[in-house]
Amino acid sequence: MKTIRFQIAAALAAVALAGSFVAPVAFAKGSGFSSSHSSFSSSSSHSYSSGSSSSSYHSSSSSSTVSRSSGFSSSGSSKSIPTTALGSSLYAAQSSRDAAATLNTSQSSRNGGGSGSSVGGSYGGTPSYGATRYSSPAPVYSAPSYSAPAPQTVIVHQSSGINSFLFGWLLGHDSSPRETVVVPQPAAPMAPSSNDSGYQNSQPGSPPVSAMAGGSDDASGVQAQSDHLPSAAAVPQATHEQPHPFLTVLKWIVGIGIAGVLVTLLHRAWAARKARFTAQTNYRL
Amino acid sequence: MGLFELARRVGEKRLDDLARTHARQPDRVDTGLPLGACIGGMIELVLADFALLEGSLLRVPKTAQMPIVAVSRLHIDADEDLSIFRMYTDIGADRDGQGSFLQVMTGKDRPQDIRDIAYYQFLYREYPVSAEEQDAFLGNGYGLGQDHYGMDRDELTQIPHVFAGAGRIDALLAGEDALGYERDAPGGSYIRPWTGRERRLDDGVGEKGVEKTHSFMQYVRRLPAGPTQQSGAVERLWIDFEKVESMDGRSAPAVWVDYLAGLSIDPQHLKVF
Repeated sequence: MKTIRFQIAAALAAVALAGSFVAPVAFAKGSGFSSSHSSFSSSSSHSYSSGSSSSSYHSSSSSSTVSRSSGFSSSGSSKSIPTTALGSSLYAAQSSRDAAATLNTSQSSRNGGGSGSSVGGSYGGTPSYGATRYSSPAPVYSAPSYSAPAPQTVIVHQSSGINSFLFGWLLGHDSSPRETVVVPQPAAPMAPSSNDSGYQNSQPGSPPVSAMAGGSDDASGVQAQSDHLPSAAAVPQATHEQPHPFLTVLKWIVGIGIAGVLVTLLHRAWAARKARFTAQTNYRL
Repeated sequence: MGLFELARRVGEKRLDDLARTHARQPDRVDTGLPLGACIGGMIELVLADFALLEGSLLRVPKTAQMPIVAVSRLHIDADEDLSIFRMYTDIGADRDGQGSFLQVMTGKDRPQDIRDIAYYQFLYREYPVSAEEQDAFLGNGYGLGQDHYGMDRDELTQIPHVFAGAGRIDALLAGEDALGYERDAPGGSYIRPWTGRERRLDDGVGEKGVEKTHSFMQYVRRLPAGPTQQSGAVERLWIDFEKVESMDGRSAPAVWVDYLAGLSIDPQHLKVF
């Protein structure tokens, strides 16, 4: 029965395509695709080969009538062999998925107008929100930050480390002793109080009261200077005797950094060597 | 070779030995398979199930016991929970899949709830080069997924063990123009092919393997009844459009159409150890 059907289908399809531009061989052997759902006329007009689609599917192109029976076809006849568990499971899975997709499509098309308007509303709200947020901070941020050039931050830093950046602190701390501490030092040696007051008293023509008053003022000033002197003089000596704390910290940082780099390089080299002998998982079930 | 070079090579060798000793091996990933299968295990079939087939495209396996050389799982796009596993007993000379495997379908997340077991053998392969040729397998309303398939003489000659046998093709065709198969799925005259993704492990840790996508459909035909049989067995024909994406972790694009013959296996006739 099946043989007769195949032969009839083959013959009719060959006849139907004999006059077409597509070579019969191409259709017949071509991909062998055919559809003869209910009537043969529709099957030939289908020409699944769709012209050239099947022209080169099969490599060999021998006789057309024999090879016509090769390939896929649709007869619409009922199944004679029960579906296997595998086939039924796959069919159920795909059919249910298609049904769900159809349902979602139909639901979305029904609710399309409402959702569209809501989306439009949400989009309409965002620009105003964004505009208000972006309008204010931009001018405030740009003006002051770039007005002060970088070297001036060193001077600003003399007032005790407001700037917390390491570089700024470095430059400011390094230059401040020479500018603010070392330069005032030459004024300090005339502070010795006894010699200075005696010299002023021995000057002729100087009124004693005013001299006393001035002397007392000078004495107090000199005393004040002498109070500052030891601490001011001690600082340069300390800098000469022991390294600056910053340099010590810098040395530690450099040392730790070099050690870290060495350890990292060794670790990487060892990991790379181990990786050559380590299998990696590319696939999982 | 200078002394320094000699010392360097000896040092390299010592370091390599040490690294090999301390290298961490990843855990096996071929676990959780049905029937307790894993790479390196064995599959034992009853050869009589194959020997008694009349007019089948299947060969009788060379031995009853076959080693499992690779395992895989098919992830069906329509249902991720559908558990279809493959235990390969042969993956071809170049690991290109031209071999044979035992395919097991189980219940969802229940490896012991076995629903279907079949043994498949590779028949032949075609390479659809043009887009028109490929469209026939990609669910475009024709081709793979139609409810009948006929395998004619030209196609039978591409099957090495069939072509090698003198008069084998004539015996298979038995006067017909082609071997007629019908689709192993209900539905109309056409349904879209099944699609899925397969990850095959060629070693226990998953370093070697293949990942590919499938667009496939299974067809069946009833074989002639043997002398002692009331009805013949059902032979399966698995037509699979495969797109290889990667191999051993590296991109390896390839496309082909595989034709595989299969036979349902009675669980009582199967041992996996």
